[in-house]
Amino acid sequence: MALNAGLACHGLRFGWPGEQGDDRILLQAVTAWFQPGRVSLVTGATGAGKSTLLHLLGGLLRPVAGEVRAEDQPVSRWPARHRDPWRRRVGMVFQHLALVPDLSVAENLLLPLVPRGMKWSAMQAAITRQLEAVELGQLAAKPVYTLSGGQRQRLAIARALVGAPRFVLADEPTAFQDDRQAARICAQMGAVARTGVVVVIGSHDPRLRNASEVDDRWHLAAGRLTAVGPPQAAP
Amino acid sequence: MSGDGGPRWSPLAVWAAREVQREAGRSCLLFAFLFLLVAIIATPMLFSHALAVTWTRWMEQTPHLVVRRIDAGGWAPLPAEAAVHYARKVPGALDPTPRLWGVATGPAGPVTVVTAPADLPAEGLPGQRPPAPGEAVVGRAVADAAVDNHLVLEQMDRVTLAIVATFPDNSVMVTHDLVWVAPPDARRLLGMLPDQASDLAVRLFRSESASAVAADLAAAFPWPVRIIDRDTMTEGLRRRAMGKGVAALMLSLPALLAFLWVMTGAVTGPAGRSAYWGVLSAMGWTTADLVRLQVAKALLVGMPALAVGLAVACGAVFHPMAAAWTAFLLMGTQQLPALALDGSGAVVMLLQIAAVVGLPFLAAVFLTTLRGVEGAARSTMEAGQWH
Repeated sequence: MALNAGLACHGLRFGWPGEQGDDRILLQAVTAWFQPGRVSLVTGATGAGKSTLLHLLGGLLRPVAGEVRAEDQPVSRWPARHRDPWRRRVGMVFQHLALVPDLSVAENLLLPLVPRGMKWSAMQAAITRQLEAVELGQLAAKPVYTLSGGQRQRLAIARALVGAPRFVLADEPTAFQDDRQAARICAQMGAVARTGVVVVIGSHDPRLRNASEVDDRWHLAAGRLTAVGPPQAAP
Repeated sequence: MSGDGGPRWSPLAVWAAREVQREAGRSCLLFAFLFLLVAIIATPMLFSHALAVTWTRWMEQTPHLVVRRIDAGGWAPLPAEAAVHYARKVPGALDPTPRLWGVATGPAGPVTVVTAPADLPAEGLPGQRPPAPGEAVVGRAVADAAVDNHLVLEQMDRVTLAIVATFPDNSVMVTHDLVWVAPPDARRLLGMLPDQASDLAVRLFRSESASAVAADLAAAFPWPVRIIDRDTMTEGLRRRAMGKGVAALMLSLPALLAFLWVMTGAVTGPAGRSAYWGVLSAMGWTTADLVRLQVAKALLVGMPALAVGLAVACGAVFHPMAAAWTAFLLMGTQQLPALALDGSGAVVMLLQIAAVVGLPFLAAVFLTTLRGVEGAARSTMEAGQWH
């Protein structure tokens, strides 16, 4: 595998502006390489910066220092006019889901596809396929506000995957799921990764920590990201 | 969505239509605001334009040149035969015709007294026989002021006339203060001798030669004359007509456009949408995509609003009932002119309205969206309705 493939960050530093004008540093000198074809899990305590790291990787935030490279392209240094269309290659599952509640389930999946100039038939096929994959096929016409928390989260996953992204960044994708659905989501992420996609999951869900589909494990603490050992056997 | 067999609409345009439906309240508000604004701006413009066209058409029935004799006291009667004799010597001056007319005092103010069908607009004479001595055909305003169907006019003498007919309403713009009488009554009223005329109407072989013939005519008469050409009068009336509506519009236009800008910004702007735009941005929608979406939505609402606004303006100018009120508001009279608009005039009007309302509207949508989209992805993901 080429070393320039996948998603990498080098010396990544980020902080939110503090009330006194000083920056509250959340990430400092984060360096990592998330390989295509593998599922990478980033763990860490609440507030450690997992979501922020995913947003930095997805081009939603700009680092204070360092850079994010996608397939060896310095995407974090790109101006918005280049970075915005690049996000079409990123499937993001937000911790707070960011669904549009008054739209239907199918319409939420349509949103990432509209600006891509796809044929209606291709969009329809992609939406149907993803809804079946997350077991929401019967709910396509329902407004999102009628769904349960778990169903909404699976819809958010489907929306991230509907555009066949090269990079999947999932923030707590199993938080609202029962064990069966959590296992199914792990398997789904694994299957996506096997197609050559970079999959990065930020979570502190123990079910994910122990999942066999996870290939690489990282731990985020005190603003630093460190690789941890091979996956442990399930108890 | 539709399959392969369905219509191939651009997904962005279809999504824009879905968003218009999704934001029905805002869309209706914007539609109502736009169509009212278009109607308010288009009505005086359309009225002025139609008035100018109508006056121009009526002026085409008038002689190319009118020669009036003047002296130290102002207007003076012409010796009719001598005037015709001098005018015929001028090359290019055709059919010199003495006319007998003047201004007299009627029961409700000054009226214009005429004696010949050639002095009247064609619309005023459908099947009307000339009045006999002691009779009069009058305009609407004169008829309204008459008592017991009789009219008393005063100038050099006092004349009492029986009203035998009224000019039709569609000619009211030029006949409302007109009194058509027999020549003997006019001469008595205006104090003119049998061989005298008020002025001399001259037709030209080519209207372009008006200024040259006018100079020759002025030199041909042995007394001072004032010559008025039709084109100058038409231009003056056209300017007066355009000034009626456009002056009021120009005064209020800056305020209307400022209101348009603020309303468009409020209705189509980022308020309550920044989180949504941020989600779209996070999913790969570019600033250009979002601007295109907003412009498509603006067009979906704006084009029908423009059409309805113009339809309302047309109704306000051309529908008999509404036009009376429009004339009253813009000209201070309910005397209803039967207005006309030519095809090119309608197209010019449409382009003017599009420029006056459409361009600022689209510019407001464009700039408001551009400002709202800036930094949408970051601000949305970390704050806003999702938390």
